[in-house]
Amino acid sequence: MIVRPRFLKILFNREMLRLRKNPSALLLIGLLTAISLLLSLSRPAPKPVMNCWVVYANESPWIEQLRRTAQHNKQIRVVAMSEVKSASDWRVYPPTDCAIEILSEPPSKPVIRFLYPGNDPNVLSPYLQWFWPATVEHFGSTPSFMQQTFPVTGSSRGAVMERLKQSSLTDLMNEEFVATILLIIVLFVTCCHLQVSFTSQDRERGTLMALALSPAKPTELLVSRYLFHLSLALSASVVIIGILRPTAFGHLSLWLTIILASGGMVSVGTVIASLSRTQSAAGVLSLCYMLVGGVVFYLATKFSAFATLKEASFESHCFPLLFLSLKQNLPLERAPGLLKLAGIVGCWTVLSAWLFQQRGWRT
Amino acid sequence: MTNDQFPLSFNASRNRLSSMTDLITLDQLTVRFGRFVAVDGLSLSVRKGELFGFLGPNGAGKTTTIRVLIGGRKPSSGRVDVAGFRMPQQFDQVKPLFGYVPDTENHIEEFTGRENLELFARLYEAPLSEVGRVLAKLELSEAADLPVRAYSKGMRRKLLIAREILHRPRILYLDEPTANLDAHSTDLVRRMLRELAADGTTVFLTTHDMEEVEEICDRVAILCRGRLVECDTPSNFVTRHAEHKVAVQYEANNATQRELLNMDHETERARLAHIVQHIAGVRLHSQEFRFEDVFLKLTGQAYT
Repeated sequence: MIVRPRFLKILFNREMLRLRKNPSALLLIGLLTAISLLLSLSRPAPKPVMNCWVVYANESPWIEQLRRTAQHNKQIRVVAMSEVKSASDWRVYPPTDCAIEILSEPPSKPVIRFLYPGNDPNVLSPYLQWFWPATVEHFGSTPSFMQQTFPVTGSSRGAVMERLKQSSLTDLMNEEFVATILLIIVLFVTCCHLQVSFTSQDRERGTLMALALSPAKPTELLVSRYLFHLSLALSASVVIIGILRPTAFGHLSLWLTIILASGGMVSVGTVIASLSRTQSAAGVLSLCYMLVGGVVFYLATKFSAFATLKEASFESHCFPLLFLSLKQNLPLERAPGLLKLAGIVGCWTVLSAWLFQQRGWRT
Repeated sequence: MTNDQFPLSFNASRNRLSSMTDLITLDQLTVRFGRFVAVDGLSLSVRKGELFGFLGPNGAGKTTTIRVLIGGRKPSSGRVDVAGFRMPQQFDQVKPLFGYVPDTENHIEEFTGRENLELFARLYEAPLSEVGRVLAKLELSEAADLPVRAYSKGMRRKLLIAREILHRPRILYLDEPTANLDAHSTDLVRRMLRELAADGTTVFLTTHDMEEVEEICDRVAILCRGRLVECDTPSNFVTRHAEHKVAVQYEANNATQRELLNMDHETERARLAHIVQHIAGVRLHSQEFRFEDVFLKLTGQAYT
């Protein structure tokens, strides 16, 4: 079917003008942007330096040497093991700190455990640049050590639980998580909610029929709406990613996921609007869709049959893909979820186009 | 605006019209909603430049027939030809040729009257100067830049008509066009419809206003329970179905007596003669038989 650009332009401009004259829709998008801005402002600033706990089992000249050389560095705290809170034989440190645990010393073979927060052991390097010279200075040469390096969270379950108790919610809600949640909300509002609201309103008023009876084809009406909602979703996403996660701008997988998720949501909105004759009926149907989705997602954790159903929903692929794509630039060949998402969105799009052609524009 | 100003695709459809007399042909049209038959084997034709009235009591199937004609509903059976194109198969070719004024307003409420018309002018590739022309024609120029939601019912109705004549359609379907209009606007719309028909536009209208039918329609079809009762000119309807009645009023037994006598019946003629001969002070009024009486008579018969 041929789609004529002239009609797409006229109908797209009509949607834009309508949005300008609908302050409530703009207000909603503005509100979401303001939330992202507030979240980015209220986010605790990353600490430039973290503390390093040097923990020893027994006092010795080596420990004295370490204490002496570290006395001018306020980030390094040399303390006895008995002074540190422990759980199940593991010491518990503040979640953003690293630690060097000296578990035994010469003459027995020294055992040193290095613990670091997060996923990157390199954060230890400024402290290692102090620790090894001080140690070599004390022993005259590098003694033979048994070294172990762990993430702080790699310790015992008890220590992890203790660490979690000390963590605040904002520590857990990292930038990617918050950005993913906000993106999902923005895509839902701009694509699904607005499509349901605008289309069902047009249908109930008969405006959609008036437009479909003009020389513009129903397909052109639908395509112009897809373009309008996609551009709205992309603009809002650019703002939110720009505020919360600007480093993710260059991630191709992120933009592909956003485009596919937007397309899927517009399709779901079109299906809902095509099945409802009135705006209130469309509202009820949207709620039912969300409710059924929620129930399926819950039941999927209990029964395998529902897990298959969950897999068939594009929403289940959106969240992890958005989250991971915000975190890193996923190579497309390593993102099989993207292909599944494209397939499911394609099915929704075909269904929505067929329904709209058959009954969606008729009053 | 001349036809040359319309795009080529429109003119191709228009050229096909010039050789036609019957612009709309319905042949055994039937529309069912489940087991309910809304339109039952309707056959009729409407000529080019004709102002055709499509009448019937509520639920007779008028709006459903118009919906089929504009492609808004698929017929259950039967054949529908509009301007030489088969409906609904050739819907896309027919669309630029007609205008449709529905019984309910379907404006974009947030837009001003002018914005509404400009949108449709762009879609129909009509010059934007037409917007000012139709606004002036329907006396809406002053309110053109107000949002439609601020319009009165009558103004909305006129804006709807303005929108549908913007592209100078060859067929204009109107579903109760003068509903909610004041006397002045009603007269304005009726005159405009007559002008359109005189210019060669085929006007197909449904209305419950019988005065309107008598005043402006060239031909009228009466529909009842989805079936065509009769189709003719309003004057032929009246001539054929007129009943000659006389209202008689006189004083008898200290009370006013009133009788309505049908002069087509021998016994009632004799009764009138008797009253006139034997009672003093009789007042007689000949009752004019109007189109409304024909409509009531025919639709009443259809229900019995």
